[in-house]
Amino acid sequence: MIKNARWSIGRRELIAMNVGVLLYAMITGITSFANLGEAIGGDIRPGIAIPIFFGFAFGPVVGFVVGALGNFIYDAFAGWIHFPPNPSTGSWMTDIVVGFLLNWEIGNGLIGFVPGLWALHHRRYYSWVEQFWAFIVLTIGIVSGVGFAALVDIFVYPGASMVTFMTQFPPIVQVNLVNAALLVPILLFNYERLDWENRRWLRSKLLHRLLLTILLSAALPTALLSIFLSNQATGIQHASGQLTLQLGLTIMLTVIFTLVNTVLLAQSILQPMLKLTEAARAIQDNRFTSQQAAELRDSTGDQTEISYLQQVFGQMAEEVLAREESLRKQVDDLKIIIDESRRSQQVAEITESEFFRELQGRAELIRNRQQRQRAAADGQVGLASGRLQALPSVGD
Amino acid sequence: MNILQRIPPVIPRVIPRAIPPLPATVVDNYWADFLGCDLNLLLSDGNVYQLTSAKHVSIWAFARRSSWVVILPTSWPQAVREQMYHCFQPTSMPDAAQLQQLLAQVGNQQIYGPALILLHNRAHYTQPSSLEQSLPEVRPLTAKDQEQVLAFQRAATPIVWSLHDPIIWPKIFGVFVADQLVAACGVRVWGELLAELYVDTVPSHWRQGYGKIATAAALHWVQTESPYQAESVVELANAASWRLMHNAGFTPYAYMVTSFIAD
Repeated sequence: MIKNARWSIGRRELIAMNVGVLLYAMITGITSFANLGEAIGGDIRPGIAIPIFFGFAFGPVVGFVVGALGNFIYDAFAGWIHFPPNPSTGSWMTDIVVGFLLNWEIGNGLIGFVPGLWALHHRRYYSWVEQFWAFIVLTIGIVSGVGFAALVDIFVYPGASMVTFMTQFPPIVQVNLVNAALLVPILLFNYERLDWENRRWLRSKLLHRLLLTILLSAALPTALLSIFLSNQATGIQHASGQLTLQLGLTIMLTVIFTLVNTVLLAQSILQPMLKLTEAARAIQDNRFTSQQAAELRDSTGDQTEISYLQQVFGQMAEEVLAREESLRKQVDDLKIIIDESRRSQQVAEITESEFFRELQGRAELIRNRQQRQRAAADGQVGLASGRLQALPSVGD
Repeated sequence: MNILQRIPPVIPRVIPRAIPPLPATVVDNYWADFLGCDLNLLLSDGNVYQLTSAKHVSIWAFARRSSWVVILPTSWPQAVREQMYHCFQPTSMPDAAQLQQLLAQVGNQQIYGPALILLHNRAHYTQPSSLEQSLPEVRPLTAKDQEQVLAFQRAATPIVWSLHDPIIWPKIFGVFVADQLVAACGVRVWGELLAELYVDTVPSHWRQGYGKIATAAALHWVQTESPYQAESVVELANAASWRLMHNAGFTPYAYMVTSFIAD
């Protein structure tokens, strides 16, 4: 699987775009009810993690498209899009911007774009430092995106000023930052360790157990809490139906999120263990190569105990293999030397012996006698042949 | 047809009273050495001993009494060696066809035998009267007879003996008829102990007693002038040779079956 972010758009990027756009629009839509309050559009937005993550994972173009298009679709569904705007601003260009909320779409696009740019030259999120840098980058993305949109607002909306900017910009940045800070590191962490090539971990017993544990300890309380909340909410007369639906969706989303993350987390834990198990099995079956051992030894991993175990195991296996190899070679060399010396010795003993000359002489005589016999058989009849039934005794 | 019905079995009834100058045990030792087996195996009765030897290049089966001692090369496949067990039974001759089939598995090996090794007891040797007659002329061949030998070789078979190897072939007696070499009997020395008589006759002069004369001359030399024990080897199927050696006074010593890699 190609994991590198890039400028160009291939099949992988197109699929990512579609998925990202849909995810972003959907999640934003579902969670839009949780309006934090005064700030315009300053919702609880877990969805903001989507364009940022897609930017990190697939590059600036995908990040931008997911942010911009996803937000546009959400806006369209939510009824924020009024084109042509009423009343018209007078300029068609401004009309387009205001009508389609173009500055906000671009702003959202920038939120995905900036991480994408970063990912072009640095795409590792293993360590805390790397995660920290990713956070800085996504902060820059959010600040620049929201800042751009809010600034453009000043110019396109009549009556808007720095005051409006100041009332919009900080809360939106804050909301997005909090949401992104909570979710993006988890996504990146898991994405970093995701290995689709090797899906054996899906069948792992350990995974199933982990899944169950986390489900019981995290998803179930969340669900129970949500049910409790929704029960409470049904008491509020005026909003009961809608609130129940929204809460239901939230529960669903939470459970799905928990499940997916559990699986991803579990596989990140399991992957090195499975590698170890596989290596152990290979050693057992005597098909473990020194190359595999070197791979294990050099695996950097995530500095957990398991990856340390992996490295030590690889190193030990390599040493054992090397020792075995050198021993085998020694034995082979020894065998060859022994064989050679013994053979030449035997050959010399035999060919130089009186016996061998005797044997050769007898063989020669017999060969000659046989030829003579054949010649005789050609010219003469009366020579009996055939099997003799009994061995007549020979006298002393 | 059973060969035994055609040829009178050679069963010596006379046990020599005096200990022969070269007792049979010396010959036994020679063969035990040659085969690379224990002397006791050679002299035992009613058994089959199959041994492997790195020194031998082909099978060498030997029956001094009624036990077969079978020597097989170590290099032969295990399967062949195991099947060999079925070929040899005590007190009976091996099946040549079965042997031949087995030997085909280890190369194009041809069976020789069963053959009889005969010895001549020096104590019982008396000079035959035929040697005293002057005709036909019998004498040891020398380097001067090279031309005659070449003609003989063309007429008879490719000869193995050499006029220039007195250690191995100390004497070769030739029978001349009208200055033509018609029969020759070489004396081949084995291990400075055995002197094997090796007779060739020109086919046109077969069945006229020339081989017998050559043999008698060679045997006379061996028994009176050499320290060796006279020996001859005949294939059982070769009735003529067998009869010749029997009439010359040779008595059976052992049976052998061997093979050589065909040329």
